[in-house]
Amino acid sequence: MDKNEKLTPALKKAQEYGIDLTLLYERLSWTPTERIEKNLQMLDFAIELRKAGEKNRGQSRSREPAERTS
Amino acid sequence: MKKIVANLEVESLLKELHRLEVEFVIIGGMAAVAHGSAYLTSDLDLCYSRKKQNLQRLAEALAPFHPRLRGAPLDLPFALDTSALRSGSNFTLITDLGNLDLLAEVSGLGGYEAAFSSSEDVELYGMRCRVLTLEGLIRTKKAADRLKDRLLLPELEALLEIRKSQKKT
Repeated sequence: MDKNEKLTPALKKAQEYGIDLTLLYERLSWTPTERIEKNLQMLDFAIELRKAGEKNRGQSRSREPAERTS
Repeated sequence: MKKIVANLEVESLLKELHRLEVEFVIIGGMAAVAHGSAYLTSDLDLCYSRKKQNLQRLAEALAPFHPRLRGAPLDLPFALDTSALRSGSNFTLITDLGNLDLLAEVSGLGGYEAAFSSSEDVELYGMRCRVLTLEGLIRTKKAADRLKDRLLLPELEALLEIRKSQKKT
C-alpha cells in the first residue's frame, strides 16, 4: 500500500475491524485466476494443518491413560 | 506435482461448464476471492439459469463428476438430471472435483437474470466467466445477514473502495 495514500472512511473502518489492507493490495496485484489458485493453496495448507493437529491430539489422548497410571 | 487435498478443482469444473455453454454466475466466497478477498473458501457457488436447455446442459456438464447431495447418506438414491434440477432449486453438492453449490436464487438479488445483471466478465483460467460484482456481493451479504456474511462485509467494502480509487487514477 502506498504510505502516502489517505485512508478513506471505508478503509479506515476495515483496518479498525482488523483487516490487513496490505493483504488486499497484494491480492489485487494478482490476476483473478491467481487469487483463486492461491486461495486453494492456502486451503490445502489449512487442511493439512488441521489434520496434523488432529493427529497430534489423537496421539496425546492415546498417551494420557498410560501417563495417568504410571 | 502439487498435491491437492482440498479437492476443489475450480478450473476443471469451469472448463466443462464453459464447454457446454452453461449459463451461470459465480457468486459467494469464490466470487469474493476473485475480486481480491483474503477469505478462504472451499466450495464453488453458482447461480444458474432455470431455462430448460440450461438445465440439460448443466446436468450433462456435471454428470462426469458424479454429483451427490452433500451430507446425505451414501446409499440415498440421487441423480442430478434435468428432472431433479427442475423439481428443486438449490443444491448443495459434492462432486469428484469438490464442493459445488447450485442456487436458483441469490439473497437480495433474485434469480439468474438479476444475478447476471449484477455480474461482470472476469477472465478465469483463460475463460470469460460471469462473476457477481463487488456491489452485488455486498448486497447479497447484507440481505443474507448471517454472522459469516456480516464478517465479510468490511473487507468487501474496502475492496470496493480500493477499486474505485484505482479507477480514478
